Amino acid sequence: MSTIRIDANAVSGVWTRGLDSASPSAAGRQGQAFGDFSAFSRQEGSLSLSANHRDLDSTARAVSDHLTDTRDNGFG
Amino acid sequence: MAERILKSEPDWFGAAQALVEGLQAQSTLDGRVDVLERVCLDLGEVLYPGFAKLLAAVDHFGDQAVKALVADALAQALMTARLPSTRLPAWGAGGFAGLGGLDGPLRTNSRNVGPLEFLCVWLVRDVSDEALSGEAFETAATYLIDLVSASPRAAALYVDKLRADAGDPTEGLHNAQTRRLIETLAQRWAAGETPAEVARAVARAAEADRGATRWGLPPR
Repeated sequence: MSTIRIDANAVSGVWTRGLDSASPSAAGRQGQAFGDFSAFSRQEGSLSLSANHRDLDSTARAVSDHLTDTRDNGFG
Repeated sequence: MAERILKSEPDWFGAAQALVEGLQAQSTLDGRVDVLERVCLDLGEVLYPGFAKLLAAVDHFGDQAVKALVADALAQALMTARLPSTRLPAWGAGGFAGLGGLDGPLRTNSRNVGPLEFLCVWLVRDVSDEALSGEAFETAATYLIDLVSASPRAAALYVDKLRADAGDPTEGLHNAQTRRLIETLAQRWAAGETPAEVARAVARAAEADRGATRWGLPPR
């Protein structure tokens, strides 16, 4: 059974917590809540300037790969 | 149709590192603005909160030189009116969620907002079906103010922008409530308060407005 979302292109839902909720409106949604900054402290490391450089395309792709997934929203 | 969503466990450190490596590869400030703009555009308007959080991650993980690298790029972006931004419906254009979202019919009546203004608006208005708590606002705004403040020029330019937005009656994004918040932000920041103090003052102003509304005094 597919889930129809009317807010497929909206900000709505992207940051919702409780992703395993039985609520139909939450079905299929994923994503860490914006306000959950505990993820920062779960990750170790510190950033300094380095000799590592990336071009524009590589930068955009790497950021996207680190932060996002792609999924079929059931349209098209 | 494929859509991009935030991972349940995003790698904020890895993303911040990639952004910094991309900025370092550019020899000019305008080139660094190109990088910020491209990353923001690639994430898209739906994930703009993720872009704001990415900047917060740079502040959290970065040393002072890294913060200055990003803040100098933000200063150039402010100078050239290219601050990575998203679009929100203008005040009075109706509810945000469920009306077609950022790509819907309200888009034509929308305004650009940078990361700090976005957080201020989200704190008091229906930007998402996840409300932004005062605590989350304070954390995020503290990071962003600290990051921008790594460049005194960026901080001065951002304060000027906030003041200009607040003072422009035709600007259209802000109602009296959000205008008060960005005025508070600009005033406290310019006064030299710490990022945490500035963020707390804005959160308290929003809370005071909510209290006034609860007691039947509608925000002007």
